[in-house]
Amino acid sequence: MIDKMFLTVCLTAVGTIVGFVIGHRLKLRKQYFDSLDGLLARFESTLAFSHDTVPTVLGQYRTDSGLLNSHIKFCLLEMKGEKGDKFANGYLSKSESDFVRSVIMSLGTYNTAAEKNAVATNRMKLKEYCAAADDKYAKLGKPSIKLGFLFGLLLSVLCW
Amino acid sequence: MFDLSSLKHVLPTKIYSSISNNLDPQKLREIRLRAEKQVCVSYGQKNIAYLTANGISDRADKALTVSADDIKRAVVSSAEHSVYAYNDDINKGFITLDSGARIGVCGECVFEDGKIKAVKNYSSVNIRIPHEIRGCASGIMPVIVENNCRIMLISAPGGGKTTMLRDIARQLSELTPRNILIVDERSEIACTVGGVQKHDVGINTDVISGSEKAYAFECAIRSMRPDVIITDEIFGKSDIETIREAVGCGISVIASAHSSNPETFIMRPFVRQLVEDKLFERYIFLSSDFFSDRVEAMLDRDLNLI
Repeated sequence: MIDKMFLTVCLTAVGTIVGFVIGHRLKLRKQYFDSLDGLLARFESTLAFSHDTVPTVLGQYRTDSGLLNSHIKFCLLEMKGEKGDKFANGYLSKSESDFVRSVIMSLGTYNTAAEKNAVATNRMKLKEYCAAADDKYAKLGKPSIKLGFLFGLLLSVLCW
Repeated sequence: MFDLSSLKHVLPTKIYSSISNNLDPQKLREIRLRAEKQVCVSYGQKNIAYLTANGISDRADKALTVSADDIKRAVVSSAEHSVYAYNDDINKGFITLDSGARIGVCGECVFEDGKIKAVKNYSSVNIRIPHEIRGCASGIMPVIVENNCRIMLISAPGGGKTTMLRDIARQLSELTPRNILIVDERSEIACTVGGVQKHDVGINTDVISGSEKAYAFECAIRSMRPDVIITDEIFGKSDIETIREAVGCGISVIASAHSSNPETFIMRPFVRQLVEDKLFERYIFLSSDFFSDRVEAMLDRDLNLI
């Protein structure tokens, strides 16, 4: 009986932790895309007013997303012709990661009018990623701890 | 002394490696990149040499080549990855780097309402390396002082006019203390970055950079009280009008212009006006040969050979 109780506690704890990790990753993804959109919005206002350079805008941008910070750092180095560490995918898929890299590296490659169009187009595409991340977080992220707990409990019952 | 590493982000890796491993940056004057063509350099006494993986050569077939993408990357990198911020400069055909190197840009121009709007499909870049040669103007300083600093320096493009103007500014500013003002349209003479001049142009020298001559002269005359204005590359009637205003206000002007010899110089449309108005006392023609006596010919204010 003690063995069964111990197994139940362990499996529900593991399920809860897994649920928490999944939920946290989905939350970070959402935060990542929101922050990237914030960066593009900031860049758009620079184009309209101060005409700060891309390295200045990227260097001054502050975000809580550690992955976006590392991506910005990588791109800043690449813009200077230096090679940084690998462009880490983190919790992004390969296609999302490629998209983000191309968006950041394309900043500042056109004149003002064309740059505004390019940023607007990229923000439209980014909105799709933001919406998908939001949706996934709402559907899976928030209830993931409960689901993980229940899944662990179910598994332990099956193991009895 | 020019720091070659300032070009590391501009040049393709193979080009930068070849130059940094095989060439002396102090002898390097120009690097020319043309899409899908061989890379050329002006190096030492060689006006055109091909850049190979092992240095320079006279043989084009061994030269390194660059792609159109390399040219675009060079322009975008020169513009600090911010073409929109440098669009006006690119439309005028050049970008000046913090190190003072000037990147000339060729491509397809896009016009709107008669004005250039953008340059696209960049086809070639010419990277001109600035050199600070202290004392290079010593030979002509007595002529400049005797003629009340109303001098025009003339040479073919790349003949060292800007280097000479830089040293004249420094020597006039320090040896015969006067207020010197440099109107540095392309930020080439003083290379001002963040308000600080990267080249030594003297302790009594002010610099207005990035402005057209007419605006800069007007501001300077009204507020800076210069004794001498030094400016680069006179071109066309509007520049002559601007200089006439300054001379009329009692300010001496030292300027430079492109031409290879007195015969071709006289053919330039604005020269007649210069002579009629007697804006300059001496026209000094510089030799393109950096390793010989720099003064090739000197004309008086009526364009008579001295």
